[in-house]
Amino acid sequence: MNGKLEFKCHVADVVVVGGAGAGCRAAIAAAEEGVDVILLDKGVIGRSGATPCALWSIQAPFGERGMDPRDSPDQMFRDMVVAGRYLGDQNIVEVITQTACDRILDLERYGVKFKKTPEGRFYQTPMPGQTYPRSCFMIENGHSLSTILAKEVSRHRNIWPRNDFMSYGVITKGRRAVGILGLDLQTGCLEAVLGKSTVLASGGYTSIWEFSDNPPTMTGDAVAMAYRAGADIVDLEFNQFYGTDVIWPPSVKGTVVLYELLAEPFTDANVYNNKGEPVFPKPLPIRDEAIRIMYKEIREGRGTPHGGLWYDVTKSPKGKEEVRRIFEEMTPKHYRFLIEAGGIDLVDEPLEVAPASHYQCGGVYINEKGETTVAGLYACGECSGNYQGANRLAGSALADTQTMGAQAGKHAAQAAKAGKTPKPTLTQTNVQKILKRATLFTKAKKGGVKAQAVKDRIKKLVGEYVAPIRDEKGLRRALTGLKAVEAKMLKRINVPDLGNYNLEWCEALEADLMLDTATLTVLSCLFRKESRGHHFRLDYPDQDDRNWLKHTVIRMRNGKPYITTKPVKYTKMPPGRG
Amino acid sequence: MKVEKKGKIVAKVFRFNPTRDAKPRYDVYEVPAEEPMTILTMLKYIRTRLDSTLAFRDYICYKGICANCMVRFNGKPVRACSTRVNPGEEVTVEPLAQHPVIRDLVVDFGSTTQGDEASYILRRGVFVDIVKAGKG
Repeated sequence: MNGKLEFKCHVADVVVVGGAGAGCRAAIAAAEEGVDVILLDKGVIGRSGATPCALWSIQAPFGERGMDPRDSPDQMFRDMVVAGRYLGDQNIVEVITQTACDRILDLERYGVKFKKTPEGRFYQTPMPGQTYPRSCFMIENGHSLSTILAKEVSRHRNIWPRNDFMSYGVITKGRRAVGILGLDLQTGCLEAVLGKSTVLASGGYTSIWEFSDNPPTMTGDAVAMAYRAGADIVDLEFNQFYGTDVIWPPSVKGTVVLYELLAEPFTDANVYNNKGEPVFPKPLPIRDEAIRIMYKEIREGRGTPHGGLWYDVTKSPKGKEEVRRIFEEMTPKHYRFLIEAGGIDLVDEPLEVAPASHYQCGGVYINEKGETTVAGLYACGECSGNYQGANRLAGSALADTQTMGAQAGKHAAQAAKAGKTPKPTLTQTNVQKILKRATLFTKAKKGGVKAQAVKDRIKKLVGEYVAPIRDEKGLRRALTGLKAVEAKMLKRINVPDLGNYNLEWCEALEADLMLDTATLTVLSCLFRKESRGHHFRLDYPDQDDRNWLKHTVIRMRNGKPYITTKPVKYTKMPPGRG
Repeated sequence: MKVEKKGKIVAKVFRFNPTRDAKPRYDVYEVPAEEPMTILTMLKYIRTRLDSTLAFRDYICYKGICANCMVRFNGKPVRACSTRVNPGEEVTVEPLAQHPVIRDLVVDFGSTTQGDEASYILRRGVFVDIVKAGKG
């Protein structure tokens, strides 16, 4: 492979990047329109992405078919808008809330098992921020969602699912996206996959933080690829942290233990600081507030030996047996994993937990059809940006993958069918430019650095300075640090010639994309001079509705990031009249 | 468990690149360990500290279910993320037996469910264009 580069080119109608919840759903929707689809994933479809990490919760306003007849799409709409601090585009929130029930019924049809009441209604748990209990309960958690969607994908003969394909760049012709260039890990070859429409569905940027509860593969590839293709990137300052992730011991670091289970209906327990004081008020605050409370405790020196707080259900008034029953019912896999891999039974001993990077609320700017600002390029799921706003409710991520995944896949296919789009070819595209950049890392260099070292440095900078509470000084330091990584480390990455399954080359490509995503994130954080949702600035601690009820937008201009704003789309609930 | 080996784990790991090697071999690594560690933690240690060419699949779900990290451990298929090894043990790690090996511990999970290129092209008449990209 090195030096003597040979590459293949495949053509489909629709190319989908990402084989978890959103990507599989998009591929299915496109296939149902009768077009040819190639589905690319950097791991194994069905075991990849953030979806297998997810818990039971997928929210939909089932009303009479669920736990509370008063619930409705309108109520869910209001809850999402309020939780997002009026920063979610309401045209998209409308699509999500209007179609969530139908998409969950699709899942049930595919074979996902949901918990039901004895009368046959959807069993739904109440989560902070939901007016009525709205989180439907997937019995085998997010894992069943990914495996069953993968199975559904394999039923469609017009989808070609490809495992171990590391997507690296959007191929463009003029201002139009015509496919993806990536590394086929199975053969060790670079490959172009062309399509009339390209759908990005490869998830978020949570693993550009040092401490994350997501898979290590979530390196924000889609944001960097879309940015380089000329798309608008929006609201990256809103990275959702999750408060209670295990920080010690190392073999289980990053495991989620739900803070929602500390609520009165469950264990009625709490998180404690090193003085033994409970830190959460009851009823539990929603996620962004909960994280700030925890982060403040740790920062002010009331943390545990490894820099966390104590998640302690041993003092629950419900008693040991009931607590064990709750964990075995709600999160059986996590509960057992902590025992098997970490040797810890949380019913008997407190756990050290800390806030970890959890979900990307911002991302690639889309409209209600999933179209980005680049012709032929679509995005859906966590990598897309402007509908969560400044915060997200539990159960929302999975609902979004299904609703917007179906939406983006359908519209991408319809556009490909419409006949206006020419069959894509490689002529007059930027493919040589992307190829040159991708192979840069394989050239032998003196004093080369490992891609892993570059990734670690980026994670350290982002983890330290793009924390739940941030300020100008720290963010400037992060920016300086990232510039140094670009100048001194990135071009010195040296990938050995390993042939197939060259993880080091894959990591080099990830590091390259991560650096752009991290830089855009820091710039977005610096730009928004207020605090809102998951963006909390120590130097601008108040929410400023007069100046900041708008999206932060970054796009590439003359090869450099250009930062501006865009109005939020309000359809039925403008701010101040909620 | 022998006393003199305490403080480390000795791991015999399957190595094979089907496109380059005539046959598989086993490499032996010594991993310092005072406490029990999971197989995955051990493999990550080998890759980051001892031998960066070792290929294996990292965790995805991180709660012992997604099976992305499955390997054969002392002959038995296990999840690497949720199976612990004790200090002083000598262990053998190999790829799963029922799938073709891509490299080292990485197998082609998709070989049973994933569509293959030839049938895709036959079915859909998609062209395959082999392009020489100059000097690369």
